[in-house]
Amino acid sequence: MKTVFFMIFPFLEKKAEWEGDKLSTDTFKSLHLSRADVIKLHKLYREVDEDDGGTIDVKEFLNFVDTPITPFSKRVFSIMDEDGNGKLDFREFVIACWNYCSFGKRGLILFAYDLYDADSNGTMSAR
Amino acid sequence: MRGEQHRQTILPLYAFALYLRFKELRGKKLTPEQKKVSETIFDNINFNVVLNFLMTNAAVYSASAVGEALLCTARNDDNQCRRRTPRYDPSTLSTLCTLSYRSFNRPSDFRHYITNPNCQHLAPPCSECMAMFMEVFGEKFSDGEIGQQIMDKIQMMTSESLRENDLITKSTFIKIVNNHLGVLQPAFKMQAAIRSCIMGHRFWDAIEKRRTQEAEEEGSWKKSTGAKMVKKIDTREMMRRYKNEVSDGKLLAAVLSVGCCLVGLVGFR
Repeated sequence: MKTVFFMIFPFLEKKAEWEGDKLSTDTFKSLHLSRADVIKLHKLYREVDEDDGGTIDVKEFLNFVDTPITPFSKRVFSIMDEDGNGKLDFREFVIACWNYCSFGKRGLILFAYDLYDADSNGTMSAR
Repeated sequence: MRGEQHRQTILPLYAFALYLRFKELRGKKLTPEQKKVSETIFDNINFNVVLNFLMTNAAVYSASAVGEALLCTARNDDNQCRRRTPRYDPSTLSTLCTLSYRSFNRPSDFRHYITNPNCQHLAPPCSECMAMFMEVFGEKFSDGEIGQQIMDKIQMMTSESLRENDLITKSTFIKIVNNHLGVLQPAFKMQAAIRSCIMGHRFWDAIEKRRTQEAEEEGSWKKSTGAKMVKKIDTREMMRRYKNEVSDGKLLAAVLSVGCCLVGLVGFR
């Protein structure tokens, strides 16, 4: 009902805070995420952000997904953290979730390989 | 086999190939992969293929290897085996034993392993590959039974004799993990946890499907990462599409508004 109302009167709808950021909007569009999806993701992001600091850290994120903090999970998080400041803003959070969750089996295997190919030479030493 | 010394250092692999050959000789059909591995070992020892195969099947094959290597030569009244005699020569038997410590189903097998010089060249785990296992399974990875087995295989494979060819390529890694999903089980588990907590599996399944299609079209997974996709779409093109969508939305809204007014008017009459 609410959706239909805002379809009829779109100018009455309050814009979400991320909608002001062109980079974020473009990113979500290029990931083929609809506005409704992004709104849901934003709601979840607010839930993950326990201290309401506007960003989420590794502890908050792993607590939310009920995953223990291990060196591996920390490494995955560090890959998600694009700017390397140890925290995820909303845009990073969406890209990270999209990247990691949309991997098929093969994609996830390649992701793990790249994660541990420390010197990025395309091979992994056994020793 | 180029010489005695070379033969000694690659004996574990050779023994494994022997085991496959014996299996074939005893009328058991080998899978194409097993055949390939067996031939590869005999023709030209290929570390990557063997490592892949060992990691995939070691627990199963090595356990039965020692069993098959020991021939039952005497039975008691209950038809249980009373005495076992090695079927193969001692060095082959010992290398079969080294394939997995699970194989040590009798104290004498273990003693044989300990005293055999062929089994003493285990290198310390300090590789990218080992680092991965330790991070994935935790620091105490090697304390567990499966961890110990995997470590044993890797250490055995990275012995002095194989140092010239000890790199795991991407394709080998994919083969290893495809056949032995447990290796990356925590990564899959973490993905499942994130999927279920954030948006749900159905949502990500649909995106996964689309991403897989795009990756196939592009020919690479790397090209369909979030950042690349953002770059891929030209900004002007994106703005054009965005404007179109916005104008479509406005048009729809206007039509609906007029429609509602008309319905309202008709209703009042």
